Amino acid sequence: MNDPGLDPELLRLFDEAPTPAPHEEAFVTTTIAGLERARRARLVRRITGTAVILIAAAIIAPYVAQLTLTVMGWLLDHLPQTGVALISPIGCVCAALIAWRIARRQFT
Amino acid sequence: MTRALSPNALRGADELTVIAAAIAGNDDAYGELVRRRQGPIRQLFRRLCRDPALADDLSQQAFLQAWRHIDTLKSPAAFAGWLRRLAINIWLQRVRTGGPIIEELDVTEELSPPAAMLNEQIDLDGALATLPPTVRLCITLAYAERMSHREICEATQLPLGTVKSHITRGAARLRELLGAYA
Repeated sequence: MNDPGLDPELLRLFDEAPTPAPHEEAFVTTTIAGLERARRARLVRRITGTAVILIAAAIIAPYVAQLTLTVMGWLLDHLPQTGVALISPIGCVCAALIAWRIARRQFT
Repeated sequence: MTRALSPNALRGADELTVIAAAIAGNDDAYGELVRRRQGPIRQLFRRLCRDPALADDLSQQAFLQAWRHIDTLKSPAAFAGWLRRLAINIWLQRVRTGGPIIEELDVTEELSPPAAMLNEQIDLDGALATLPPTVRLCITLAYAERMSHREICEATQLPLGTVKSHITRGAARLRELLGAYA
């Protein structure tokens, strides 16, 4: 794999002079402890992120529900032919999505 | 399936199985990889910085970084080379940010040995320590890790001409120093 231009004498010296890495167990234990800390930190970040999202959702949810009803009411008033679509599950989901978007915009 | 391997089973498992398990998210498998791979990585850093404590710190950084990104590794067979590249990057970052590294002499300067070394037997690591960090890196990768010029060029992102020049001049410098004290 190595290139042919390498000095054979130096290659021999490198082969004969390995730098031993002592305290293998101590190193492995310390490294694994570091990984544990990193893993816990990652878990805490994920839990915090999820909690923030859940709290935000809980705060926004009443506005979303209210806006969903408003949007549905407005559509029924102005576009009565959409009434059947709106009372279908897909219609409700679409209205909720629109309401969610509006609520998010109001909050940001 | 690889996720379910017990620590005892991991000890006896072949390397590719252990790497595949680590990629799948088995942390015990990654611990086993640290155990198996710590020797070459620590040895590489010891050659590069000659300070055992710093070498171990840098090795831990390499293993931590590898653990964070192991899910991006596509082939278990590529693990050893990938880990070595991470280690090389950590060393280069250290050199670029000016972190504490061992003192060096300018490879282009007059090849008279330092006065303090005159009556001492200079060893290979001592001679290596006199090279600038990037020259030392190229020499170590070529002679200790047996990487080709092209592989060193890819791993270090240094131009091929620079790699060749570093290896030629670094080897000449080592020959001078080691020859003078043999």
